[in-house]
Amino acid sequence: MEVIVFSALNGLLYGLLLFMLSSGLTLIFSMMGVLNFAHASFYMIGAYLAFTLSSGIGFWPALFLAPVLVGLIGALVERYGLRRVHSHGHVAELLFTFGLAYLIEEAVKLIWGKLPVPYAVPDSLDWAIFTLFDTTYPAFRVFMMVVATLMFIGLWLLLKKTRAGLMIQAALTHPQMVGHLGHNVPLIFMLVFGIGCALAGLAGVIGGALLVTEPAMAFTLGPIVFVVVVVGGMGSLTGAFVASILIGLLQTFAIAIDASLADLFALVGIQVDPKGELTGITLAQIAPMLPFILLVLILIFRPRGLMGARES
Amino acid sequence: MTAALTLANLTKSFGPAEIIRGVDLEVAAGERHAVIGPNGAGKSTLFNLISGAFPPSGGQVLLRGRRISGLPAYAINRMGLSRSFQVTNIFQNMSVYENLRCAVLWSLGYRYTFWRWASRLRDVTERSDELLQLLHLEHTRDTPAGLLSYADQRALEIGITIAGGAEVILLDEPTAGMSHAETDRAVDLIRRVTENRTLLIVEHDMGVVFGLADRISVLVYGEIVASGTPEEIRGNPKVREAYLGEEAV
Amino acid sequence: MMQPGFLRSLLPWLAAILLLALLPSIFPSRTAFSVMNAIGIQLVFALSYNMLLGQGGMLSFGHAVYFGLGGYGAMHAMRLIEAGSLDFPVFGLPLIGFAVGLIAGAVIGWPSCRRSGVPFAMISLGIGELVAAAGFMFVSIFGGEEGISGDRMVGVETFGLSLGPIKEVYWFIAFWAFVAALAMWAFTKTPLGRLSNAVRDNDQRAQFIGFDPQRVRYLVFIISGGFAGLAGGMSAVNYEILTPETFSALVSGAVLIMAFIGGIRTFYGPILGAALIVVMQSLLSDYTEAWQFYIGILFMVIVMFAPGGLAGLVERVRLAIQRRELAEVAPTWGLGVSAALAMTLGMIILVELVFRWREGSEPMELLGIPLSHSEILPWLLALLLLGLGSVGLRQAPKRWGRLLRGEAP
Repeated sequence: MEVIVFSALNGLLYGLLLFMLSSGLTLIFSMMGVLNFAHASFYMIGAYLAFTLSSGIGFWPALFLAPVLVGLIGALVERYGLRRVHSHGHVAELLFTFGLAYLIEEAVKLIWGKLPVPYAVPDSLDWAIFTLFDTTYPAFRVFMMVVATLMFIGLWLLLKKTRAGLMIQAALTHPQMVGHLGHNVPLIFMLVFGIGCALAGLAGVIGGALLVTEPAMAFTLGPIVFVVVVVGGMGSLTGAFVASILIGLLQTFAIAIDASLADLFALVGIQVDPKGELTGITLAQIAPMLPFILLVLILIFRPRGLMGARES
Repeated sequence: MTAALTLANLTKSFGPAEIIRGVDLEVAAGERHAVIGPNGAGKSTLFNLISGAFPPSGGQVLLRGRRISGLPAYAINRMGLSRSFQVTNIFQNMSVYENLRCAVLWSLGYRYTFWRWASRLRDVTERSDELLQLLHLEHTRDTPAGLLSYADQRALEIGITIAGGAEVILLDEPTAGMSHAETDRAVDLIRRVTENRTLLIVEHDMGVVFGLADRISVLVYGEIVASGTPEEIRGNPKVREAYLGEEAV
Repeated sequence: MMQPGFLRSLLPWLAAILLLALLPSIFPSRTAFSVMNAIGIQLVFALSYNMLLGQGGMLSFGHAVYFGLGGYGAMHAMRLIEAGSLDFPVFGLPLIGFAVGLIAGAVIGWPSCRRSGVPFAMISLGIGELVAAAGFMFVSIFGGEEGISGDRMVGVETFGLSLGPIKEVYWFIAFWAFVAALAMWAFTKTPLGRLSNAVRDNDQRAQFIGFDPQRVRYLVFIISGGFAGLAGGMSAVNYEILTPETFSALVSGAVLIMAFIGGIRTFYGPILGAALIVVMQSLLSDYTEAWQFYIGILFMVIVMFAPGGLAGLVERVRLAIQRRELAEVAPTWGLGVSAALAMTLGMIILVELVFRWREGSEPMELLGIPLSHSEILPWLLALLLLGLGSVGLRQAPKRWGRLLRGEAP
């Protein structure tokens, strides 16, 4: 029972972190049709900036300042970099953002070093918020869940209830029309990209403290974020939310249950070697692979994703 | 005698919007048939339906009596129907010669061959050279297709369409954007390459239409409102009212 | 009947044979051989990758899978030869790699090639991650973290080569690199090769000339997988060890970078890219920790300003020579090149200063002149160079832009 509850909580936590990261990517994809390979890299910049800033001005100011800075960097990248390759098509954009991801990782190594930096949960949030089954649950985690939920609600309201949001939704299916309607499309692109990156940066401020802040963090989390966006449906915010939670819970429970193929056979009464190479494979071992299996299956059978509108 | 191309109660809707609302048409073998109509009537959609770009919502398309609606575009092409595009749709990074060479491969029996050199296939090179001359594009033989002049690109567009020797040819506004002289050359080319073949052509230039077509059909809001010889169409009051009103022919 | 054009296109290949024969005499050191062998392997891998990207228009983030599987196939065969259960020359192991790569391409390519463009890229990423994870799971096949190792000096000797000394391995690598490159070049001239270009340019139109683009992509994918596997086989013999790291996204990313920097629009571009990256990796890593950063910058510059890569630049110069306009464009190009050099130098100094400042290590020396990160002067120098460079680049914008885009003036 205890295992289930804590796995659910942790799965939810991980899922919400994935959502925070993928919300910006979904926004960028909806508006511009660009799959930002470097999205997790902006997440990483957010974490590192928060680390550097918080040692100077404290966690709470950094929480607000770091995403803004990341957003500014994102806007500059769009204005002076992405815009150039936009005309060459989606594959060229993907190449650009791929190169950007690589470059950002190397730049981070250069500026902050190759080892993880000691970016930790701030004291103001380092207490136990409740106790369940004799185990305490940290307040910071709840804080993160609150921020993620607020992000979802905020973005949802933005997209569904405001004019800007309607325009973004229109741009998803009819990108050229939005330009014809007289909006300053280049400026909008820059803003949307900047905001998307700022959201990633915000995820980084929190995620970096929760997990480890190191140069490889973008690389480990990046592909899973793509899975979320693709599975949820490119451009669908609700889809991204559902997919994030789904993947978060799936992976966490897979690790917790830790049953092996042998156990599965045993359930139906077939005895196989529990230590055998194939039959000894446990759910925990394939847990990291599950998102990608899901990705490949969805791309083959339902490329629209769970709730997507535009088929890429 | 089976018509070369038959459209039977063809409909197509995109979501709630019904673009083609029940089109019946028969094009006899060897006939030159023009489809005219105001903008937005659905002419390009009709072509897309016939050539297999997407399947119809209802009705059928028959090629020499065999059903082709619902088949993938490459299958339809292999059965002897080829089309050109209104917006030039060529292989822009390849040379003109390469464009034509690729277009003749299937009809000469070559499939996904990777064990022979393309330049060693004598029948392929002969046919490609022939086409190059026919289109008057010898001077642009090695130029990347994307760098050609507009008129040359349109000529290449037609060239790729007829290269495979298809029996039924669909041309979608082949003279769009051309000057008078270019149009005349294009019409001359079309006449030559569609000799003894069936032609279905969409055009806005009435001079081209009335000069080239054996029969004309008028498409308005997804329906054919009139179909007949050029004289019949010219004299048809419904057509005049719906479409020819502004143009003095 | 040989046409003059055919003989002329054979010329670079004859020159290549000559070069391969002379290289050991020009660079006889152990390090040189090690680098040249690495280049040989990577150029085959990069060429196979470009069959997908440059020629077929398919961006893959998971090509390392076929390289790795081919390599493991060859490695297991090598161990069987050593154990005496397989009577096959080690020299021929790349062929086993080729076969494994082909089969892998056929099996994995079937679901992958149903889509193109961005979905294809994403599927390739997903599959790459899957295979990379599986690589560590199935220890008996892939050897876990330690990998599988073998001995190349076993079995039958071919061409009198025991494959013991590294120089003999060079001949092995040179042979296969030449054969593979020639084969891939010949492929571009076949109908299927041409069709893959057509599908790349306009896959809708390819349908309307009677070909199924999915089929074309699938066949090209299989063949490309085969040659990647061949490169993997070469690698197995050269390094005598293979670990599941071979499947990683790093390896897939590296080959993408190599091919793209070299130039995906020409056949030989990836060869240049492979050579450059391997050389940068082995030589530069002695002098600076930031060599990967420089590669990243180079990649971005090429993506944004010269998408034809290094080969694109070479072709542009060749075009100028052909049209006898070299004298005319040389001053502008000279200005542009010196401005670019100034910017590069400024950037390098800046990067190295930052690195040393953070690490607190000893000051760097450029051409014997010490540049200390704790003094203000070197920083100013770097900024000055960057500033001058950018001014210079702005002075010759139009023609410079045309040069890098490979367009006609």
